[in-house]
Amino acid sequence: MPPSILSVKSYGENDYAPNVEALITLDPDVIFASSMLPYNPTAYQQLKNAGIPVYIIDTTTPEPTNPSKLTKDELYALSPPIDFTCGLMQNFTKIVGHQTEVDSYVKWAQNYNKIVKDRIYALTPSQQVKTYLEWYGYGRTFVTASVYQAGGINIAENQTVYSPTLSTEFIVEQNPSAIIVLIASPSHNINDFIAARNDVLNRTSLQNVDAVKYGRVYVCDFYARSGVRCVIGYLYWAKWLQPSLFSDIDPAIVNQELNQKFFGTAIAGTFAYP
Amino acid sequence: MTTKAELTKLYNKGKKRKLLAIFSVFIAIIIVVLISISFGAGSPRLPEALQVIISRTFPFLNLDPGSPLAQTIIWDIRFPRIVMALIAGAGLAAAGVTMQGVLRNPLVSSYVLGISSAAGFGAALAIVFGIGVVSFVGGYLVIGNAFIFCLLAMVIVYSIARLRGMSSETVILAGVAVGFLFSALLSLIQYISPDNNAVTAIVFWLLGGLYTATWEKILICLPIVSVTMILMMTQSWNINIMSMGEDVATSLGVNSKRVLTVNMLLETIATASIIAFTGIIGFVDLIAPHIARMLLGSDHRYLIPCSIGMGALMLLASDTVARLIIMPTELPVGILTSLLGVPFFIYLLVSKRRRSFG
Repeated sequence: MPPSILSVKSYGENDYAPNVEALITLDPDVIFASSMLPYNPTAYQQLKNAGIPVYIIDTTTPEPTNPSKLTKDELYALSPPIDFTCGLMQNFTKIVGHQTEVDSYVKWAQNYNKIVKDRIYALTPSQQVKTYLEWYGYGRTFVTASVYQAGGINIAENQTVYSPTLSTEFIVEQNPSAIIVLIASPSHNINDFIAARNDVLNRTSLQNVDAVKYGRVYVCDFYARSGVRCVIGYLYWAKWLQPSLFSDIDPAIVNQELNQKFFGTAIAGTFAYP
Repeated sequence: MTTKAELTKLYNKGKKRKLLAIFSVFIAIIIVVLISISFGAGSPRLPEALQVIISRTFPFLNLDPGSPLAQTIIWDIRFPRIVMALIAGAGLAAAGVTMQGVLRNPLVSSYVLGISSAAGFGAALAIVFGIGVVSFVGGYLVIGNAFIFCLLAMVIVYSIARLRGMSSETVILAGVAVGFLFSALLSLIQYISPDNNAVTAIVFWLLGGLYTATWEKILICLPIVSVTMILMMTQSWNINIMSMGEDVATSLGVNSKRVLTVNMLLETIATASIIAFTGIIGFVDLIAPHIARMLLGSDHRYLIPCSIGMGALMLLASDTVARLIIMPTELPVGILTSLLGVPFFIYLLVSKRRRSFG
């Protein structure tokens, strides 16, 4: 996050538990909230009763319920996070303006989106990399089209539960060639990433899995998968899964480009490792 | 008038029935172990599983250890998980039955005595802030914290209870108070945590599970739980006498305060050494002793071993179903212990084959 955003004061725990009194006192022109706010109908209604327009946006990228049943074209027709983020920003401009800045971002982001799509689409199924995506450790994963869109095959693709806890036996038998671990590191401290990677690399049960044997275990920050920085996460995933296709792209440099171009400053911190 | 011979015959008959019940529970455990080792999300079934286990347990036999995949799945994943389920179920049930007996209260469990909440708080401190009570635990920060806070909770409960003469009522009330205190602190940590994902990690830890079982953890947990269980069994006479009331116990020469203190210590060490590794697994320590009590009465000489077997059986069966029901996805074991244990418990309760307590 740029320093200008980090210095913004927080009013409430999250969208579900906003400090209604403080928000009403601030008398904003509009409130943007995630879809968590309507789960607290009292707060939602109090804000609306105060005459403040409340704009609810779903910030979660929609995911297919069963990607294994989709065709290749259907999978690639799904919005990757970049399309979704650009759509959100275009909607914001209708209310807050800044059309020029958003157009500039959309053009920049869609350029990378197209580069990845064009290269990945040409892959045959045998060239796709079997991938296990983990969050919060020990088999916890989720079904997402992002793995396909970055050139992989998600080993959880046949699961009917959106966020299943996979048996370690299953993961071992699937023998994924790559493991992507999602973590949240609010401080973007590289040590968090190294620790998460070592946790997977040191698990006794995974020692014979190709991803561990050949060191193809990667750690990505949630903040690099969504929002303005989703381009960076997308590029990292594609480069991790298909390194030969993206040897000309360094996501770390693209990240610096994003910081300078849209935030006007260098932002320290790690978003992906290694 | 019943003669001494008739009484002896009656006693021996009851004894045989109790031993048979205990034997049946342990036979059931063997059957469930065989089922559990035979099935999983991985492909190895019983023959390969036995091949791996025998060859790895007795390396001097120089048997073919099976394929590397079978070895990984059975020896590194499935079998340690089964062993951990047996240890955890047995230890939790032993802790539950002794404390229910000593405190003469059927509702006593690690939750009631504040131990689970303290473990949760200790784990949360480590997960959210990376704060450990002792620095040497290193990679075992969460485990070490959970263990230490369990002991801390019991020290607080003990200290409070001592101020009021160590009665069972004081111990329970102090435990409830300490439990609420640590629950509040846990909620506070979750609320002020700057990282929502850490909060989710706490929730997963609190759900408990056996999926992190490794031989390394078993080698730490097994000796502690085994020794505490043996020591608990040596207390069975004292607990039988304590169950008649503190006055009666004192008149029979039993130092009730000492028995209570010793059992509190054993229960805490056993429970702490389990939930530090597995997260909070509730219900087993509450229900397994009750099921055992309904099967064979309140004589702790038989009740403790039967509860140990029942706890091991209950947790292993629950974990096996949790692994298999929608495999390769796994359900949290806590859901299954309740879903499987409650109907059986209600059945026993309704059928009223035995008095449930006292």
